[in-house]
Amino acid sequence: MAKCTGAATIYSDVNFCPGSKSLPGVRGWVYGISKKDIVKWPTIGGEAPKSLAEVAKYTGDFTLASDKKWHKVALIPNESQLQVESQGTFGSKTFKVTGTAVAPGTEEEITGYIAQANNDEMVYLFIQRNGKARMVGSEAFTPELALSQDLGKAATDTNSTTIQAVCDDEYPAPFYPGKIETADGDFSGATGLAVVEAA
Amino acid sequence: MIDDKLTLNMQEWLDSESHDRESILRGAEMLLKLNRNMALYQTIIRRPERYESKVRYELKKFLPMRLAKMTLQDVKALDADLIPQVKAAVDEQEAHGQEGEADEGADDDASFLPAASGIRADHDSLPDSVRCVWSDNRERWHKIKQLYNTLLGIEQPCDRYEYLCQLKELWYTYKSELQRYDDYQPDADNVDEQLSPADIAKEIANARSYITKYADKLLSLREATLKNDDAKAFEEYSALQKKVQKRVSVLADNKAPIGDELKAKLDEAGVFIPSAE
Repeated sequence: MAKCTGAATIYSDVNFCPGSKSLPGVRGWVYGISKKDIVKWPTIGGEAPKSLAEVAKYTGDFTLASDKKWHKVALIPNESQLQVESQGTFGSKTFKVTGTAVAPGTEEEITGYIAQANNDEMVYLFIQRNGKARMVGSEAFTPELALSQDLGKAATDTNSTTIQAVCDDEYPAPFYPGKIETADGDFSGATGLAVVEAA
Repeated sequence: MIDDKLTLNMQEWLDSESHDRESILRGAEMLLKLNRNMALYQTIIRRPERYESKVRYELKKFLPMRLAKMTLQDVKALDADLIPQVKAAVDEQEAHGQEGEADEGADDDASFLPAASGIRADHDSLPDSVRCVWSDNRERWHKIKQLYNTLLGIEQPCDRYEYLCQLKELWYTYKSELQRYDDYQPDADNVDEQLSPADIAKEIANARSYITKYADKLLSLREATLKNDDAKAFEEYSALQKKVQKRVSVLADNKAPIGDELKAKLDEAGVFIPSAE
């Protein structure tokens, strides 16, 4: 058996302090973009991480093609979710990241959106309640989209469009703390706040 | 939607005379955004200093269209709109040339222009300001064909942009002038002959004030037409151009002088000014 002398482990305590908050769910929108509009990806796993917090986190920003921006899809509150599970066999294990975004309505615009995205490769950023962006989609794997609409039946039913993005990834829905360029300006993937550039 | 921030960054980058390594990498990234050429980007980032002039050259190619608020998609749309029109005219001329050869040898060329309803029967009796449209348009057509042939050998939208802009301006001037030629009615112009000197003076004063009043508007309409390629704007421009042209003809026919500044403005706005003699 090989001697793993060079492979240092970085395991450390993972604490949860009493009184700390861990808010469930995602914020009321997701950011999406077609893979073909991404000209350069941020990096992940390039250098050996020094702490657990750095393992599943991208470094750098996305470089988007000229005049392309992340688009925002507004969601029904408390209906959308992001799930991660492990899959595969020993030595080749990956993660299956499932992002379910439920958008209100089934009108022309959102219907056109899913028609367009149906055969496209999309990447989505789900925003945790604390403002941190988690990525569904990776450069290495092809994301799979399951798009559906439900017009409802009775007055109390929901009329909604569901975008379910399932993506295999080496990392469990990695964090993207970089810049999110949108039509409304640039936002930080670390805080969810607008990025203010120094004059 | 065009990203003005990128355009501004490009301008700033190009304005700066020299760049350090970091700055060249920033330029290379802007170029990657624009042309999505990963191979070129990878080549540049290996030895940025060596490729500064290349980055500058490539960014310079994209800047004019972005300053005109046109994305690559807009340039492609302009291309798709304009080239078929010009191609149809070129084909028409070629077909005419072949017919001419079959008949008696292409020797009636002077009376043919593509996309036109033909030379008028009363061409020789038209006033200079209208008659010269035909000869001017022959020159324009020659330039249009040159530009069209140049464009045949160029593929990338950023390279085609400069020629497309020139072609667009020439083509629309060519068409609007032909329309003026076709629409001209000799009777309306001959009314002056019966006017008294006082009436002529009044006519000149009216024409002059009309031209002064609408020259700026005509110029801005022309710029808008060239920029937006909007059929409605073109119609509006064409209508006003005809009215202003009519007043300019009044001044020219009565040998009333036009100031150099106004002349330049009118020329820019696509109004033909007959020479003094």
